[in-house]
Amino acid sequence: MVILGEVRTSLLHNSLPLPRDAVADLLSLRPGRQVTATDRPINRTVSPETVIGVDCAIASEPRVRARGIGTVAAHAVVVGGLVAQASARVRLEWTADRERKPWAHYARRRGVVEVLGGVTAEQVLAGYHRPGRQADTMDLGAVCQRLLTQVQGRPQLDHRTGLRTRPTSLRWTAVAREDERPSVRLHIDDEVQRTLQVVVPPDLLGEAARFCEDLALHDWLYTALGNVVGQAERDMAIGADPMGVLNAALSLLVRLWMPGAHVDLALRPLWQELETTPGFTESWDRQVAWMRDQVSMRTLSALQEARH
Amino acid sequence: MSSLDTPVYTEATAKPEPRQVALSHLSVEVGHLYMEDLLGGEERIRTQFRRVAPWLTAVRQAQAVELGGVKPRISTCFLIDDYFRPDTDPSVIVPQLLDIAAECGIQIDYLAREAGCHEAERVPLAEVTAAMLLPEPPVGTTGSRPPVQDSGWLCNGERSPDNTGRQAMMPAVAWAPAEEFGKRNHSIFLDVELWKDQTVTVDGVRRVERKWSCPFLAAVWQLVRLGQLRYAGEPVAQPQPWSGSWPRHWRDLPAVVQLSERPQPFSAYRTASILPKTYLKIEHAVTVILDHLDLDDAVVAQTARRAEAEGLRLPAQLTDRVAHVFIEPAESRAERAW
Repeated sequence: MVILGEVRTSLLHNSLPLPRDAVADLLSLRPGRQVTATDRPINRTVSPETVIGVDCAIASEPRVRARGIGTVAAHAVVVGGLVAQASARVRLEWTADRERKPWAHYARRRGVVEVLGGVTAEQVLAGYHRPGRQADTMDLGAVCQRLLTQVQGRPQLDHRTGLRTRPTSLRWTAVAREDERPSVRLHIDDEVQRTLQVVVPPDLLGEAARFCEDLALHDWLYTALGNVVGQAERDMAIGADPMGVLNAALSLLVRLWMPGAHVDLALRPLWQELETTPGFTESWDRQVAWMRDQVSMRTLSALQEARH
Repeated sequence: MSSLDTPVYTEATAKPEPRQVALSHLSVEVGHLYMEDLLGGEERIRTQFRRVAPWLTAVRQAQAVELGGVKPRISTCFLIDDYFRPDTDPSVIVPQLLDIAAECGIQIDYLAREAGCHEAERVPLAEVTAAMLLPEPPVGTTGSRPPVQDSGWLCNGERSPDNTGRQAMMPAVAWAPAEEFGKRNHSIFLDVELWKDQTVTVDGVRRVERKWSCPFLAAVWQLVRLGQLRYAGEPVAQPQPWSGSWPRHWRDLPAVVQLSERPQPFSAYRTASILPKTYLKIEHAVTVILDHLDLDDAVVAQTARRAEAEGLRLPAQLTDRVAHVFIEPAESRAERAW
């Protein structure tokens, strides 16, 4: 069993973190459907699932003729009233059918795409992780981007941000394997694109999406903080005041760092692997400490100057 | 037991479970009359109910056979066509209708209003259902473009390529037939109009008003009878008892009125509709609509669990739970007499 997914993460276009009820309102994207929210340790609100139909080629490597028919499931997530994510996924199921069935067959299986043709799971995984998208193949990125644009354009937001950050995109696959320890492989392709491969036991396949969303969030936070440090250093090099950007980052981003807090217990060991290499939290803590040092040193010298 | 089965910490809104509705085994719709028929004299109503009565008995028997020893829970209902004709008087129509039904041996447990399928107790049921639409993707749909929605049309396959209105210098699009997906050898392609948006002027203000089509409201009607609709997890269009005289306006009645005392629940695992054959095409359209919905999976799962707990066999596909009996329409006997 194989799941293909993509998560796009960006700062919510609002000057302040959005309160809990406003977030629920923001993510009420389908009339009558409920938004789900957890408040501890930090608010994480998820929109109702949106579903769209697809019938197209499936990317593979080497390229084999394969057709996918079914539905893509997607939802939007807001964490801490501050970070917006759009997450789309399909679970692939191989079928011996040669033709498309009546739509009801696909419509009642949300987020399942049936694969027609002689392509193997390995070929599909290799095709999905290739940089760039093969023409006319399934486009989860576009589904995410439309959803994110929809959320970011909603009237509940004031469309101003207190921090300059870049959206990131994480393309992931999860494979179910019996009798195998959960494992994870994260690859940073470039400034905005990441690739993630997860292996989990079959009963935990459904939880993989949430782990990937959590990882995408933290990777984005890590990237955003790295950019803040870079900008502060540039500011200091030219004698400009870095306090504004440091304060904004410290007050907005730091409290969101909670790797694995919303992930199923059984999948938290995956985080442990990432904590060993590249050592996410250790590195994050060091950056935060550096930022706090800068702020306190500057506050101190400002106080001393004021006394003279 | 693993740690997954006994969560240490849970929150109220983390996993909203939809509220349950009481379910019969079967909801039977005992005929349907256009408002013109209801206004067209007692004889038309009587003719239809006389034709419905033996089929109602047959449907009850069929349900008993299906359940094998278990006492069937069956409720009956009748839908009033007040969405397209709100200008009629329930205080005249309802008593006459109920008297004739009783005279023909048909007890109507619930009377429902078609306008209630548009909006029931201020819950916009039609809009909620429209938000569940999951149209067929034409071959080649990758997700790159937004799905074509809001056209107000839904089909069961792929439309014939557009060959009209092309510019003089543009190459002609080769004609190809429309195709039904999942067809058996040959296509029976159906394209259903779900709604029509009209610009109306009310008190000098122009606004767009959506007029829902009869098949679309009939699809909502099936969903309500099958107990599949919720609004923010809450049941909708729940039957309300009515005592006293009938009002002059349909809008003063609840969406679903409970008529009999202690009837079996209004919603049911399955529905059967005994209708004049003139409704065949509408019900075909209803089937297409129901086959193109992204239903609330929590409600679907809940219904399946309850059926299993009762030891009932319940088809996974919603439209397989919907049965019809088509009877001779009211007019044809009169026509033959001529």
